[in-house]
Amino acid sequence: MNAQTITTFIRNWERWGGTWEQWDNPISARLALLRYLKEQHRTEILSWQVESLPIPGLATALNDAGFKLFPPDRRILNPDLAMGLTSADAALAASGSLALTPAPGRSWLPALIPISHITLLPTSRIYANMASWRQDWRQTRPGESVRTLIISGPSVSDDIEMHKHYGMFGPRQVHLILFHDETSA
Amino acid sequence: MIPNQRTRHTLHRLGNLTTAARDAAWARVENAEALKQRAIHARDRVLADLPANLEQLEKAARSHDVNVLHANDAQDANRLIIQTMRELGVTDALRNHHPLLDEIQVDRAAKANAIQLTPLHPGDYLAQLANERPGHPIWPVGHLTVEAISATLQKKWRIPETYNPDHLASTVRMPLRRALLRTHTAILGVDFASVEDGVFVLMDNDGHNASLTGLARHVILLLSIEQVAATLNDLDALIQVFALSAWGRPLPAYVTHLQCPAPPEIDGPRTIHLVLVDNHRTDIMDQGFGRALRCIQCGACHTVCPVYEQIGGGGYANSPYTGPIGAVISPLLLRSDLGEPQAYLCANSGHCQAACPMNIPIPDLIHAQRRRLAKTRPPKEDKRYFSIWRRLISRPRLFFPFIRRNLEK
Repeated sequence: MNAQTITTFIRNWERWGGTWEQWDNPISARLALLRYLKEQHRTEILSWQVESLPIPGLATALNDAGFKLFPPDRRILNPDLAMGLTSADAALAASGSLALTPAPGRSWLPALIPISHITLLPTSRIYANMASWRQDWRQTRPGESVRTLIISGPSVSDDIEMHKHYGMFGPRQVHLILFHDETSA
Repeated sequence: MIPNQRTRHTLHRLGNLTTAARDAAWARVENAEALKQRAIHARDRVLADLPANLEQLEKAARSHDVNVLHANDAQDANRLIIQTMRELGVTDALRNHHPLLDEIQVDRAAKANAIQLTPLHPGDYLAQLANERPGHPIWPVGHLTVEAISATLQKKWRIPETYNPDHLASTVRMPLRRALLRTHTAILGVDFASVEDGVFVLMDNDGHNASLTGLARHVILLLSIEQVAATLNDLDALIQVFALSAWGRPLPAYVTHLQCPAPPEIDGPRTIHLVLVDNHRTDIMDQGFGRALRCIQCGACHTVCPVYEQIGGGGYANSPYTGPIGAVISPLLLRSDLGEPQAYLCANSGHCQAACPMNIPIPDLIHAQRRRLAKTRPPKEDKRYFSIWRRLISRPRLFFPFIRRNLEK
């Protein structure tokens, strides 16, 4: 992925009010995630299955640091869940958006229900725009049904005299941990 | 009812803020005119042969295990919704924010059939609490002041007195989120659909559509027949144009694409039922008002309209389609006593046409609508109204108290 596309994506991501950090490799990204979670003082996290997250050794690292990942089982969903952790199938530079397609172990809900959403994103998944991702999708996953959530920034409602209220249904904070992976080198 | 001064001030502010946000967002778009033309072309292309396109959509949807139903009118649509809910064995559901659901008066039909239907959108929920009709396609309670919303919540829920919009929004948020996490069935107005792939699109900024799509086990989708595009790329153009003109942002915070029911191990509804709603849209085309069906319901024409700014959504009788575009389509969609007066709520400013991203010639269509109504209505009725008005205006002792009483409410 070229540097210009990454820069464009970050610029547009910031425009939505998203925060971000960028690292050279997955190990640094893993350390950054642990630090971020500690700063937020949260130990219980609604998450994708750890095997579906794009950083190796994450299960052990989180467990050793005292963090507990929960799958988005309806029995444990509650309106006060604070932290959600996912990756994304793609990031779209032209709009600064994330694209998520649900699959076993990769639920939409950690990106929709908690107050904060953290995304672990390898730079190899950044596409110039929706059309280029869709083209790639059709080549690599032919015949797969379309079930996609495109997220552009935090949840915001302005129903009361146009006053912006963040986190009405979805997260009020969206944080991105971006890292270079092998395929993006 | 003519709104009071404080409400008119709120409507004026809504107009200023939305117009500024929309203009700024469009100004940042490279080649904005090309994007608009793409969206217009996308819509015109399917409207040119709507029956064939709908047939293709139906075929694509059925191939993805979507149960497709057809509703000729509002009554038909409600009957299909209620029937589907009975087949599913459910007596309560959540619904999203969508003008089509207001158009068919689904809330009223649900109540009459002992089904508890809760609007999940905070604006719709507040409108229901305040016994108000949604006054704008995007901001249902855009006409209500923070004081009015606070008074409603104090009265209904006995909350402490507060005029902080964040506190009020948080107060509404908790019960809605609890309802969302318990949801089983959702009734969802669809924003757009792609004919080629049978993909349905729902957009929002607060996440209520995305969350409902992820959590509900059964969804009943309602699609008005003109809201289709040939391909996903055409849909992209319509989504962008909608977001820029409705919310003044390049994309909605959440765009959900839904094509087929989800297997048990992943998020999404287990069954999808699609109700294709005509409700006189075919007549609209037959009567020469087809260009009005380009409308993507972004609400841009509302907030620039000097009449809407004065009377708000409440001034449009009981019509779900308010503002300038409502003046064109309501007389064709609704019962004559509800729709026809709207055709006369226009001051010929032309601002609506300038604001419309789909280049709908709204003033021309309003004039055509008036001509059509003049032909169908007995001239006696007009004479009677003018005679009352003439008598009123020639008697200052009656006229000024009448005006004062109606404007200072």
